[in-house]
Amino acid sequence: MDGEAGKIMLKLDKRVLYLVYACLLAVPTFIPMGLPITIDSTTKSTYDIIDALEPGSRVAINSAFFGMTIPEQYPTSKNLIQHLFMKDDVKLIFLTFNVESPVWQEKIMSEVDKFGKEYGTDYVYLGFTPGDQTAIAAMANNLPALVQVDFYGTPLNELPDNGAIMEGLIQASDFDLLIVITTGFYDFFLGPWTSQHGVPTILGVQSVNVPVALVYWEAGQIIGLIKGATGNAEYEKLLNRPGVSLSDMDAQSLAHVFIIGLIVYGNVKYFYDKRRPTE
Amino acid sequence: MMSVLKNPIIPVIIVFCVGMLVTFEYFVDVPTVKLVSTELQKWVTILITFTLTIGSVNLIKSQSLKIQRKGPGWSYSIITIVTFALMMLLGLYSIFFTPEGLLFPAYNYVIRNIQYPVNVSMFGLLGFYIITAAFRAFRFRGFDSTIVLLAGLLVLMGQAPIGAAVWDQFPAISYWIMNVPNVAGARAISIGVGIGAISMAVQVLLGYERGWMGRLER
Amino acid sequence: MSLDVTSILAGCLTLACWSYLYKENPLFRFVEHLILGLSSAYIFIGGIFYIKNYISTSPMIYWIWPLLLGSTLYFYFSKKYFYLYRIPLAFIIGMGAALTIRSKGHGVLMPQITRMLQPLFVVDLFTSFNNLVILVGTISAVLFFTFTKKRTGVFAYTEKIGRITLMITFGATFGRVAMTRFATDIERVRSLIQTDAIYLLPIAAVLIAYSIISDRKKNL
Repeated sequence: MDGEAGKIMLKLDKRVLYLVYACLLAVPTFIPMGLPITIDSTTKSTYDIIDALEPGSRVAINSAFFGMTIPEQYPTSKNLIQHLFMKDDVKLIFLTFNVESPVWQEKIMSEVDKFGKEYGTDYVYLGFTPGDQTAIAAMANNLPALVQVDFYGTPLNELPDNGAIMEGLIQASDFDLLIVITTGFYDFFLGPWTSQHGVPTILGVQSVNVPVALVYWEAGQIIGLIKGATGNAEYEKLLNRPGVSLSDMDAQSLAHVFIIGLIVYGNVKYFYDKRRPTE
Repeated sequence: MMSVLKNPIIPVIIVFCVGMLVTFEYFVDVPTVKLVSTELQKWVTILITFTLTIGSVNLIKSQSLKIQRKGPGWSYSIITIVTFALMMLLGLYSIFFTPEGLLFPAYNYVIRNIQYPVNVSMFGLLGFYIITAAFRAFRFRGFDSTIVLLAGLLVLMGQAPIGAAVWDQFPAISYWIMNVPNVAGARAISIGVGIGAISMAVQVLLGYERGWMGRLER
Repeated sequence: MSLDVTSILAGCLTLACWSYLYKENPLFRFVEHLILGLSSAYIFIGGIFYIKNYISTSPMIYWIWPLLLGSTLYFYFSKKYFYLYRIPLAFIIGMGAALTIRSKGHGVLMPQITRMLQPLFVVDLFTSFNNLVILVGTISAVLFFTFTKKRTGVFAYTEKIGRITLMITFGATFGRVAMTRFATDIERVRSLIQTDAIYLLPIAAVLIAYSIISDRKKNL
């Protein structure tokens, strides 16, 4: 360990570290590394469950997009919706408890292959219902009482085929699958929808929520889990549709190496200085 | 009538009645109870809508006061109010005068291309701070911090593809840490939080916890 | 050559936010107050949107009462009639408390405790070991932060095990938190590099260089 290099490093302006970090994130854009990824059991389970959906299945999806969650949850939503669209005659009902979500759902719809699926017949955005916990619990018991229109303001019984997509959907147990893509507050769904009504549930979480979500996975409360950025990359690999998530893993690798290197260097410097204090 | 409503016991009674009805409804299969509970839940979603708007009104009020009193940074408050007004106009136009409602293209454009980049960039600042924290603050100082850092380092190495490229056992170690000791700790935290939340909810229902009522008249 | 104005606008906003990393500056303050106004407005609009839909799809007898009750929430701003604000709030608080009991009880506590009561030792030795670690770790961690009095004897070991379990959880959480933050920054850097916003980077570099030089001149 060189004292001079150590002194330089200690005096290093943190803004230089920021610049190095930003540059490292940009490197894979120009020099892709293409490191292989392994598929986790939670991602594989999610894939298998969606793959096994029977024609006529109705899936409730709650994508709670907030600005800061979009980098990880937008690809999750897009991958799952793409896979669901690849299935025959699977109906998607988007639950909207967040006013921003349909804005991003529209963007997803413009980017995925719909395989001829049409709004109103194969998928619908239910009208925005504020109240989070209250609205989610109320919807689990009596959906038609809470939501009468879609996000465009069209009455649900005026959707194509007299609103056939919503026919028979009174409570949560009438759905074949629930997909919750949100950050935190999973018990809002796990209580009324999963435990009370027994709807099979898949969670799509941010990386930061994985430690908590694994508790539900381990207890068998959820049957599938997409673990943030790694889960998105794995799902793209399973779908055989490489996208931004797979390519972002190279940048993730570099960022991880950088932060580990800084932790190790900082500690080596710390112990070196403890034994030989600098002037 | 107004003097009756002034009595702080009235809201406590309402909390108790609403809470007990909704809790009771969960455990019984009586159609009338479920109907009343569902109607109450619909009412509360409307009430929560109003609380959302109160936050915005409060913000505009405080920013306006700042401008009035020429407080520090008052010129920036003008930006807040102008932006608020313009966005409100656009939103109201979208809702009442367009068939697409909140999916009106101009409104979407503002959400996706102005609000989103700022939101996510603000959040992204934390990524930079983690980098400097890693260099300056994360030290193997004692037993506890050693455990935290070791677990963190092993999870970091296992979750990114580069970990598997360096040593093929890193993912397995990371997997074990996440699915065994982490689940134990996170489960304990979930149980603790659950018990705490339920006990607080019971205190609120029974009227012991009244902090939500705000200032009480003397 | 036509430039994509949208990506340049988004790039400007991103760089304005990240200019705070160099130092606090008026550009960052501008963007900070911009998002404040935008976010408050869009939440307000969402509320109006919901009420408009509710009114248009329900008979007046259903929606007039919650609307009147909700309006009394605005007495929050009145000193004289502040007490009226508590009436609708009581409905919200009562509902929230009841739903918390239901969701935490049935959605979290019961399944988690039920899981702990399942057979510990199974055919596979490694799985049995893991089950044992989870059981001992969970109980020790719950005991650790529930009972804060210093423990002796056998219970001193549960305190130690509980602490270690929680430290591992925090370390694992740190690892995952880092990944979320990196994902956010990667998305932003990608949006700067892969769009016309890349043309902003030399301008940003020049501005920062100018700022560094003028700061140094001030210090001299």
